[in-house]
Amino acid sequence: MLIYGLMKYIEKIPARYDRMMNFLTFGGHGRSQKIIMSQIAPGMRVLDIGCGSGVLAVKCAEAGAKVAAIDSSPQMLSILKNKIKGSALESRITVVECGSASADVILKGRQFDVIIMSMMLGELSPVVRAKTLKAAAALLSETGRIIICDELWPENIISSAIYHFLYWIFFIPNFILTRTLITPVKNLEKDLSPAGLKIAGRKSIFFGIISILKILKI
Amino acid sequence: MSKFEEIKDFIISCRCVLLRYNPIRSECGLVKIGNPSSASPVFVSGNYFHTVKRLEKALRGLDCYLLVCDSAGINVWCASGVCDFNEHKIADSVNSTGLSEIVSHRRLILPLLSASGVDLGGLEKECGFKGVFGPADFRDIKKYAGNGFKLEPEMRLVRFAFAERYYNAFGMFAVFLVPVIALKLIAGKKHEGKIHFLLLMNFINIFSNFMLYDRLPFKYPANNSLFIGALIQLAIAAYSLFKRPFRLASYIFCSLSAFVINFLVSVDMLGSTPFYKTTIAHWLSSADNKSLFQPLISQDLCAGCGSCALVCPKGLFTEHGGTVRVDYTRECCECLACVKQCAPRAIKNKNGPVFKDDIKSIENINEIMN
Repeated sequence: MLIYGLMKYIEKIPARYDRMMNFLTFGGHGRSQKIIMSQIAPGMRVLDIGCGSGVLAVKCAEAGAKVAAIDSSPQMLSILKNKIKGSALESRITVVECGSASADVILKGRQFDVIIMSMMLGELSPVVRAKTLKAAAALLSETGRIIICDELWPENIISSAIYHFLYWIFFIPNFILTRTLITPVKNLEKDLSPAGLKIAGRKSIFFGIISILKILKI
Repeated sequence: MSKFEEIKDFIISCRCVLLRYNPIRSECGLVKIGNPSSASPVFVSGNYFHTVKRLEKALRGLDCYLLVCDSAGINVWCASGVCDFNEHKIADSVNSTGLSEIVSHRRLILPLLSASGVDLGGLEKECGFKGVFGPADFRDIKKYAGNGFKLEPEMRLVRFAFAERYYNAFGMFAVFLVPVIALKLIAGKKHEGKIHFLLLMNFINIFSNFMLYDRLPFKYPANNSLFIGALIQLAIAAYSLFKRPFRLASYIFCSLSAFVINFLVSVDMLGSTPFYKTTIAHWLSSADNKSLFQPLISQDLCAGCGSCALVCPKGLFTEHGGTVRVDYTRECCECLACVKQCAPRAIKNKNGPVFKDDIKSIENINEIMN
């Protein structure tokens, strides 16, 4: 029955993912969303890559943007679809089920002013992450920006060592509460230049653990 | 591969077996096996570390590619059911590795057990590759390749060989170890004997169930687990009677704790084997561990394509001249691969809305089943 209980618990995680993330980061997840939202203006074309249950996508639509929300999990997307069903937001959010690295194939020909990638790059393998950034660059309009919100490995040796230590402590609660193993992103800049992108601004919250990056085309 | 790397991989694999519920991921990407050319076959796998390593070994001798796709470090069967492994994850790996420039064909061989989560039409749309389901067991891959990539019906069947059973036993034992360790930390040295007894009970219950799986008297594993529990109770009673002086408190403790552990293990046996899946309530009320989902083909919707027969790991379906039949003497394990692969949604549930509902990868499942 122990495993049965564990499985039932894990099964229910997607529905409360955002609350758990907020808990794990002592509210940092909610604060980072506010910073992301400050970039959104009415009428903008927004793409949310790895939207999950769509908390940010809904906020962007409420702010007047026209949103495309993509994710690879139909289970997560059905939470989003149920959220917006029958509301005025339904016409402003297009829900697309596809992989992040294949977004340029599925949304071919479309352009976006803002592309959001919040807490998702850390879940990807390096090769898929590099391609996801290229796909995002292909969908970004000339004057558009990409907003990445994620955990980044610190470059400084001492902070990196502390980070290693904290990572191994939080490894288990992280897995138990969110089901995914969110690994902080290493060497993001190395992947940005081949995709024709550069970092134009950076904000850190939650003791520098969560970074919000503004990224533009070179 | 250097000796050092081999030892490192072996240690990580042991860690995977012992702590199965806390998976380790392998990196996604394309692995070359032997000297593959642009015409060589591409086998798809999830990224559970232990699986990838075992596959690399099993494929030695073939010239092929192994495309490792993200399954969140979980085995493909489980991952497919909970949306962690699907056509999007495969397409992402194809597009990220530039596979279409490396091989000249457009064919991917997928693990048969991923059929619960992968939509082949969506896969082709997203990456241009056609998926076909290969064998259920990776040990059959060489035979499959030698057979001109033709899948014999027995290669579709899921087995529960000794190697998988010991593996499940370790995984379950590790989970049952957690409360025992917690008790040890709380109770301290004073109750060491009792705690060691609990540990022994865990070990006997779990390992005897999995290791003697096909030699026990009952058909269903959960009932066999209770049978083992009864044998343990007899042993405890005999030991208490012959050991002088008889201590009632000690007997009650041993008997009760053995029963509790046995019951917990029995309930987990309902879902921890690839053969039968049912709800706890159904098992408790009927001692029947038969899957609540029983496929029923709606003949006016059925297109006769036989997709269900191609993916069923229990061999329930047969297709002859465009008519599909279900063999109810074989037992379904409610993986719902048939429902997922059936484009006209012709497969319903004999029991209507009653089924275990573990599979999350099929949209509007309740409407389809009714």
